[in-house]
Amino acid sequence: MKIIFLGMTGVHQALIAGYYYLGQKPDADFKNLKGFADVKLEISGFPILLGQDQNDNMVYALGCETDILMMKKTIEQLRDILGGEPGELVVLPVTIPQEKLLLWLTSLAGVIGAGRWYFYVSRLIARRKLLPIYDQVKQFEARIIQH
Amino acid sequence: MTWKTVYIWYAVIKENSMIIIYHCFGGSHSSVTAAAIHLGLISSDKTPSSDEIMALPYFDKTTDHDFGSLRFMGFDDQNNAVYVLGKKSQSDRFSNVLMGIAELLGKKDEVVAVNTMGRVNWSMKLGGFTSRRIGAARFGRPVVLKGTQKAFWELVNLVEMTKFKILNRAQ
Repeated sequence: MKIIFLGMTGVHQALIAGYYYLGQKPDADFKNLKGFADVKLEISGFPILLGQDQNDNMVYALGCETDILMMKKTIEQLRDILGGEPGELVVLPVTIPQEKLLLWLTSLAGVIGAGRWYFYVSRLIARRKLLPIYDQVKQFEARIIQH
Repeated sequence: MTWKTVYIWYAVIKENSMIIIYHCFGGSHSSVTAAAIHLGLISSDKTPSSDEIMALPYFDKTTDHDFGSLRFMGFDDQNNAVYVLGKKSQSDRFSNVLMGIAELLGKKDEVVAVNTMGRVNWSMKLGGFTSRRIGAARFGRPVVLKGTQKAFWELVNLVEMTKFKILNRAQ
């Protein structure tokens, strides 16, 4: 099974949720989260591979820019059209109140360049929202077991 | 017709066919016109009349509920399934998102995603917004139709490039 954590950006809350699901919490400076606030990864648009869980499921993070539920619908329809089973690809939306701000910062970083400021501001925002992200992952774990 | 029916139909007709997705903001004007050109629903030899454009399935008929839905338009002469999709204000990376999902499912070579937004002119944007978002089709529709006629040859060019890409992949 492939598990996609879907956020408005793929390199913030979705990525943290994916790593948390894999058993990895961010350390004090978030440097252990490979891909965190990586604007190049975000702009590419491709799902970001985070690792494999204990059941050999591949775990990804993906950013959708606008409407998370709309993107979830598109991905699930594409999966179905391509003949995939619902359990083959699971999409798990992750939201935090500051997601639009993070998206805006990512757009800005794409234009003026993502220096350290982008990483630090992203970290500052994400650090305050770790618990809500973890809570969402715990809810997903129950759903993933069902699949 | 549901997507399940479409898939079964698609799978039965030809195993090696592809899925071509034309996507734009609303999935209502430029993507529908491009898909129609691709499928031969309108001639690519002359600019279509307003009536011909309005007769196309989905043209200027979508609602908010259709955002994100892959809507089947038909099979082309190579038995490739052609879809249209409204993606809201997602950037150019959206094609990569679709291709990335196809790759995860091991079907990367079976999907071609085409962004039609680059061929959309201001008349289409303004008319489309007035007709679909504001809901004033009476005022927006003539503007979007004029814009579509104006962008027609650009869309023909995009479809030709897409068909060339598909041909290259098939080889």
